[in-house]
Amino acid sequence: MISLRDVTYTYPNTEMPVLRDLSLEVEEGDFLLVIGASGAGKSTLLRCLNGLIPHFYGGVLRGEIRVAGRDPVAEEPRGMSDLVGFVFQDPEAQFVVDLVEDELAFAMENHNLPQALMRKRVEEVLDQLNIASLRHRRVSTLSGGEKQRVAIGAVLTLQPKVLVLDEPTSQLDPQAAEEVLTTLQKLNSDLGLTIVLSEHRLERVVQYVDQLLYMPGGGQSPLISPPSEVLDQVDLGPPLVTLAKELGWNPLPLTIKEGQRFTRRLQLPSPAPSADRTEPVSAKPQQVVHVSELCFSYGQREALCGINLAVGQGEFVALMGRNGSGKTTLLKHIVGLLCPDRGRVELWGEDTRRLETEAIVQRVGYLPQNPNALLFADTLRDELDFTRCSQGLPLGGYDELLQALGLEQHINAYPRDLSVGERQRMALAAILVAGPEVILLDEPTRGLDYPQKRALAEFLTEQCRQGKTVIMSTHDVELVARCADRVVILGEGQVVVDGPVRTVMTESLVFSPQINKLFRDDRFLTVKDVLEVIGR
Amino acid sequence: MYHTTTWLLWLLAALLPAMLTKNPFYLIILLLAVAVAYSTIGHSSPTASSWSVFLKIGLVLAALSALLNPLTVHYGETTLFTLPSATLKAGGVVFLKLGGRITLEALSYGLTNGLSLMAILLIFATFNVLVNHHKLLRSIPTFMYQTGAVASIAIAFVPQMAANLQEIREAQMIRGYRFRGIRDLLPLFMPLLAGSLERAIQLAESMEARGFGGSISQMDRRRELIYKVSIALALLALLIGAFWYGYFSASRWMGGLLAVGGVLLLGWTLHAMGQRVERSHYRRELWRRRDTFVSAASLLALAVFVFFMLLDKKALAFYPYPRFELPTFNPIIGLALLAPVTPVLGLFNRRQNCD
Repeated sequence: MISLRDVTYTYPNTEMPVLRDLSLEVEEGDFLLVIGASGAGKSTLLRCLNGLIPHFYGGVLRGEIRVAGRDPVAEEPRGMSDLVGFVFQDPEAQFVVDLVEDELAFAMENHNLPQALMRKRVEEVLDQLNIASLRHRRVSTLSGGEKQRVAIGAVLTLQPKVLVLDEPTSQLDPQAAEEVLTTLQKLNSDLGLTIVLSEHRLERVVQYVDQLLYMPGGGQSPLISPPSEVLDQVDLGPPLVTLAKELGWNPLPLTIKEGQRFTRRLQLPSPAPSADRTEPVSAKPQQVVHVSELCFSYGQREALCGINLAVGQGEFVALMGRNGSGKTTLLKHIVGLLCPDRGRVELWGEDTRRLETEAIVQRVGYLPQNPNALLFADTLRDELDFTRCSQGLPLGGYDELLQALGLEQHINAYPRDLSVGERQRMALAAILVAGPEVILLDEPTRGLDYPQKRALAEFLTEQCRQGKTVIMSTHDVELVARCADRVVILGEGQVVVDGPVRTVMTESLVFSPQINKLFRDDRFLTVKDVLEVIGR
Repeated sequence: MYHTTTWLLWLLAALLPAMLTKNPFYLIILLLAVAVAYSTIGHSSPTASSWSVFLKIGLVLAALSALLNPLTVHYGETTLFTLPSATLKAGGVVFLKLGGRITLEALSYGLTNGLSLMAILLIFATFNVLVNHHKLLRSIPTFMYQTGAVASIAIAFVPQMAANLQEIREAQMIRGYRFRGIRDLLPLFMPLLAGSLERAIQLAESMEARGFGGSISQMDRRRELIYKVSIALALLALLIGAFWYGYFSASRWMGGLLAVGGVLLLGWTLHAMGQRVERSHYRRELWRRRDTFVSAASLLALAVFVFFMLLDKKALAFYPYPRFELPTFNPIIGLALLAPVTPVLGLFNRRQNCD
């Protein structure tokens, strides 16, 4: 179905090719997952399949590309649109009209299909994707998962043979990502649609995939094989795969079910009676943040409803919960961006209503969800200087921070030229350069791959060790399992659960990490926990 | 509810008298008719809240006009009362005299001007509430469909940009950013610009990947030349026709005929150009009997206004100077002014049928 021969592509105004002598074959009905570090050329490869590269981006493309025997370079994206459906990362930015039904029809209108045929296909797609209930809704009112399913539907109405998706779940919460990936699996198995997907959340999708393409970047040759063979050779696997590799399980398990075949054979020592490692041994730390009976509404919609929370110095608290449960609103109250309707928020014993935002931000740093909202300067250095200057601090002195975040080589780079993960770290640096004592992070792992998440976890843990307090809102259970001390789960603006990470995560099904699901033992949250117990 | 064409005819039938007449009786009837249309079928629209904003602006403008005209214009024979006056002079020439003799004529002229302004505003406000904007954009003629698509995207971008700006403002605030002068706009402006551009590029990619822009067939040079020449001829005929109509009163019909010919030629050319766009439409708006009813009423009302405009201008006019006289009232015009209520009657009829 897809054939690439010796494809080399170089973006305009650059010298290094992103793709070098890339050759691959994808059979009809295959589900191909493309993985690789940020900047390795995943999006570039996907855009070659429908001619967006080189027609939309320019640059120099050499080699031969064929999709169902057609040449995307000669036919251009418009000509390929009936053969290759393309879904983008950001569901918001790909809608043209405001009603779901009209959005589904847009591509068919462009192809001048008769009205009766369009109606038939819209009905089919609504049923296939289980989105019939959304047909009359405005796209702006849909949830992230619904939006992305509508975006998939909007390309399926042309009945393409190949569906290409560029990190379609990177902006979604786990439930929404699950909806999208399940839909893809169904399309592949029920319709035999060839799917090419780039995705970071391997644990959710890897079991459905026929082939895995690993792109190492830097001009090195890619690896394409069945998933377990590729994951065996690369360091991008989910915790289950990492553990399996450490323990030498063969064949490499890709699902919890497959992994449990090996765990049954594993001889684990019985837990010691007082094995609760989460009990703090030290004296009670100084209280830094104190939230009492906090209530807040956006117009008629109640966002927070009687929140009580106390966080001590050096604690690492993870705020979890569904989208819209009030996590971001709570963080904005702590940094003084929002003022409580009722109740109070205190920082070091002082009511935030009596404090100026300027005074708060000198001690509290807040990283918003979207790093692009923060970055505006020409270089990272300028960004860092801007923060220090705004807060009346002397310039310079940020080498250590850059080193810890792995950004030294990007000090003079234009932030928007870098990958999502790098931008995220740049934004974090721009906040931390002022040396806040409390660090608030809102969904810091969007678009990060496993090594990047690991690096972030290590960095934040180190900050806590140095006495800083971290409060992080996230959906990422693996990150929480790795580095948080305490988990607070919010639901409809209220605190549903507040407790030590091990207790909360092992008692929950939704919020338990892969390793805990594998062993169903409260001693194990991370790969490290297992290796420690079995003495490796 | 109604076809977009019906709403466009409704708009014309309401707007034309509001612009033609200053007669307060007619304006009041028109305002009431429009208000009835809003309050019975417009208040449940998602954009209904904008109506009260327009109403407030209209009231302020009407009040200002009613107040300022008698204070600044002292023409008219019927003195109501006299106020102390202040004059603004420059080089011995009086520019403005405030206060002094307040006349009934100036007051009534100010009031009718205010009413007229308010009527125009409320007609647009009601149209805005009643019409579906996306259907309106879809009804843009085929030869302009790309412009229509761009307009609909631009409309969708505005709320996104407003939300984005708020997000950026908060993000910069927590870095200690304070707005002190125009140079401090950069941290707000740059992320907004860059973010909007990135979104626009992604949208363009998404549209192109779904076949947008590939639906205009190529045109041979001869045909292209024919279209260009006929557009030029049509515009020329329109211009000469209008000039003829205005300056040669003895043979006005010739000018009128020429202008109509120009409009027809223009219409044909644009229609023929639209045929090049090979693009189908998913939605066809349904034309119901009630559309015929409302459109016929609007066209009839328009015919009445055009008739009076061409043949009996005085019936529509009201000029209180130099001495105030009660405005005249023609029941035919009064009846035609009720055309904006017909959508209510159309729907009432439907409900009756449903019952």
